[in-house]
Amino acid sequence: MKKYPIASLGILALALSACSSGDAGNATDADSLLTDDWSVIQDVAQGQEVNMYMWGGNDNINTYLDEWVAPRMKEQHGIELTRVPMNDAQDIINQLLDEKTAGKTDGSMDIVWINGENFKAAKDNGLLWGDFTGQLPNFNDYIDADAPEVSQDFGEPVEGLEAPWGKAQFVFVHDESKHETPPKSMAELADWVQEHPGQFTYPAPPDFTGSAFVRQVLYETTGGHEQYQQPAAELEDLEERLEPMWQYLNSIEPYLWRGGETYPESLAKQDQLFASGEIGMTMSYDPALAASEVLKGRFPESTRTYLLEGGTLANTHFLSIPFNASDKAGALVAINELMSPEAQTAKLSPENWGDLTALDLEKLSPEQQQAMNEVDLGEATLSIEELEQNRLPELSSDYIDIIEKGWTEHVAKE
Amino acid sequence: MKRHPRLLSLFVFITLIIFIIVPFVPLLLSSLSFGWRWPDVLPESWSFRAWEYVINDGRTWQAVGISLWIALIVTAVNILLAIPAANALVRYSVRGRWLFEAIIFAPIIIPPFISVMGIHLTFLRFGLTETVVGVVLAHIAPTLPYMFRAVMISYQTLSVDWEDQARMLGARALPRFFHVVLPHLLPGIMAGASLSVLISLSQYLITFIIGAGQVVTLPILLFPFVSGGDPGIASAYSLLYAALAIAALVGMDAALKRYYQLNKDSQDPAKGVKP
Amino acid sequence: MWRKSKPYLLLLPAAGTIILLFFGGIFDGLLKSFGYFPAIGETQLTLAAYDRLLHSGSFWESMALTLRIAALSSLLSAVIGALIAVVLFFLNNSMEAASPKAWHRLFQLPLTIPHLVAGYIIVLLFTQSGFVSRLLAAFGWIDDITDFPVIVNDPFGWGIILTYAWKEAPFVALMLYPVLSRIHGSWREVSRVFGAGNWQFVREVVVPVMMPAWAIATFIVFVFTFSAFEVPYLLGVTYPSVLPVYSYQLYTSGTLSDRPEALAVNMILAAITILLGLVAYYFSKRWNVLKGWG
Repeated sequence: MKKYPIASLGILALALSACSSGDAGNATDADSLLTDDWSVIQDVAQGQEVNMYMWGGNDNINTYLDEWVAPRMKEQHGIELTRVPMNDAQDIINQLLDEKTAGKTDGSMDIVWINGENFKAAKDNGLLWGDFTGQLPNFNDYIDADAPEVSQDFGEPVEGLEAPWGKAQFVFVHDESKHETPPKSMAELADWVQEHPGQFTYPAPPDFTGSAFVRQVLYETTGGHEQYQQPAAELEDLEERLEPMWQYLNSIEPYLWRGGETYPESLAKQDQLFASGEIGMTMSYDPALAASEVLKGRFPESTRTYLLEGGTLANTHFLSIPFNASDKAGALVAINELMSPEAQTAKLSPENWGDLTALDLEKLSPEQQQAMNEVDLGEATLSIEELEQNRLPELSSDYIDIIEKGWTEHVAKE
Repeated sequence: MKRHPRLLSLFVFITLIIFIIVPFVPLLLSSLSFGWRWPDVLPESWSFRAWEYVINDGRTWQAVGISLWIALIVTAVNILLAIPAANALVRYSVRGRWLFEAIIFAPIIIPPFISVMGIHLTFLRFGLTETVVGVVLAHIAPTLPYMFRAVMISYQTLSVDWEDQARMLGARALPRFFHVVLPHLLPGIMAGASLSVLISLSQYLITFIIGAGQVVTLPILLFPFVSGGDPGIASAYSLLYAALAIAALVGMDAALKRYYQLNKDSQDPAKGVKP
Repeated sequence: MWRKSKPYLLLLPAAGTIILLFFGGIFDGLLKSFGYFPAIGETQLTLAAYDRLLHSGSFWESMALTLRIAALSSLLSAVIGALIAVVLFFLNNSMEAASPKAWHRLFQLPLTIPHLVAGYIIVLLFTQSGFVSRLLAAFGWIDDITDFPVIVNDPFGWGIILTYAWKEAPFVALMLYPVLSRIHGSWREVSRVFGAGNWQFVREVVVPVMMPAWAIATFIVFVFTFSAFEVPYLLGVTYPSVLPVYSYQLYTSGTLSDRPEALAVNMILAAITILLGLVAYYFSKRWNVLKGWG
């Protein structure tokens, strides 16, 4: 009796699903793709349909994929690239986890867009295919594989499981017409908020950007990022090391928006406050966001972004291939194409997306460099060089948890 | 009351406008705005950017098609399941009737996502996830009870005498069903179908769990935008989505009316032949 | 033999489909909530997930939030829905037949709007920089964006409650209206002869007549809002979250070890809704409210 409903469901399912599963089987011999010549891979990729699963809530990014990348992929490589809109990268990991549990070998996901926490979860659960980046010509030509921002993803060794697609960097955003000289260090910020009470705040962690701001404070108030490159568990005096950060955050609290009684729930809320002139500064982990908000008319024309003198946090976002991707050769070719200098230059343009390139500028030819430099980033965005020269590495996600929980304890509740 | 119906109706009218119509205003404004900053009640300038994106994106129309297609199949399946079941419960004395009713009405009370989360891995193993068939199967439970209920009400008002008369006149079971029973059930079926279509169109979570990104209905496309994406596009999609639901209802209503009109015309000359 | 089994054969496709697809799924979930997970080699049945859940503070906070939101939403919908129904009833009595029909349609408009859209409408209306806040600012009632309270994505759940009130009040009205229309115009005349005013008529006749249907409608809204996912997912905060969202968060946490707990939340939800459903069924039978519902 117990198994009855499930068994009869099976009969029903078999009857109904005859048409649903077509192309299984090429997953087993796919591992040779990790060692094959690139020309072999390109041949296999011909005519494959590649599904790219990614967050679907930004029209610029969607349009870049659908209208810039997909037609070229079809023309140049005979690959049908389909973007699959997801609400959250977490959902991608979860779905793969289910497929792994159910033993599904002919998965629909060929490329997934992930980083940080999601990458770690995927790696820990064995959801990714393998060490594939060495196969990509564009990775070998234009990427410095030893650079920390490429070899590590929020402290987690990448090990060739994912290929860098773009970079993000923490920037502060201000309205030039209101405040000509914004604070360029945490010490200056502390003075600034006293002079301009109510004009500054940050989104409450665990909001992604708010949490990054707190890490930014951590680096500046506790003596640099180097000490946090080891796992959090190995730092016995972590509590004490974090103390100056809590003190700093509590010391500026009375001068924040609404006297620090409450913090904006999300960056979107904070951006609304900035857009309406309620606060004088905001922040973003996307250096081109302010420019795009100006283009859309939400931020004033006089919006500018800037960095701290000691540099700001930066991270890389990656493309990966799941363990059960059906069209791995196509995925390899597509990822390679997405990393080409042309695709990266187009991606850099705020009209398309405005995402920083993952490529190492020094490895580009002078023409390619020039093409990148000629992209008009918009007045609100800083130059690529300036951003490049002021990058600080992210710390691993075990710290992030500790800091986010600690913030509620030490700052929100006090 | 008779003294001031005008006043009352004016009051009702204004309340209606405020509570029913005004909520759509910001949706429309936000879909057409270019830079709409607080405290402006109206946007400073206008832009068709969001609508251009929504209309030009081929996915939008694909999603509209798939949403309607799923709703249609679900409704057709529901009709086939509901008519015999309602017939049995209304016309026959069934032992354990409460149990059958409880079974069929249960998905009204127990939220369907509970069942879908449980069955998800089983569906995955049978290759039903990522397919329209799988999503249709997931949509049946939350919609069938409404169809069943509507058909049951229709059956209750269908007198057995009519069918008996038709039988005495020599009509066999199938013609009897198509000429006597079905026309009588039709309004009920249409009422059930409206609900079934509406409920199927508004599913997000169960479509997402079973469709797993490969079955992109309009709510799946819309969700990343309403939960923290671009507000202009979220608004445009929301309006399109609402319009789709309303259009589906109005369309079915019109189809039913048209059917009656056609039927009247074609039946008129035959009057007197049928009992 | 055929005669006797015919009704059961007719019932089989519908009942079988629900048993297979719906109860099968619940049963599947029940097994997994007991930790039965053959795919990862877990075949022992335990109550560990329930134990962890019932000892976790966030589950109880979630439960309290869910009850609060469901209670407030259903009460608000009940009051507004009853007002709509009564006003429509008087209007119908005092006016020509044609125009109220169009109004009925309009009142039902929120019913046809998908929940996701309704939720987004509330976001646009009631965020701090939303439409209502702009209107208040235009009238000079507030000077500052922060003068407008946080009622969307707020820990209390006001945004969720408002969405449900907007969506479900017409539903309550729709359930009440047919009951009210059973009140004959002559009763009104009789009561007037006895000198009853409008208010008295409402209190002495209208309210008692609609009471049973009202209670049931409110109850249905309660059960629905207690277990719905989309609106709180869109309009709630990460913590605390209502039970369906809490379950989804656990289900998609990225580790399989949280799955039994997610499904245990689901089973508790199912048990509560079944219980509530039985109560509603019992009373509706007794009061003979829901013709055709059984």
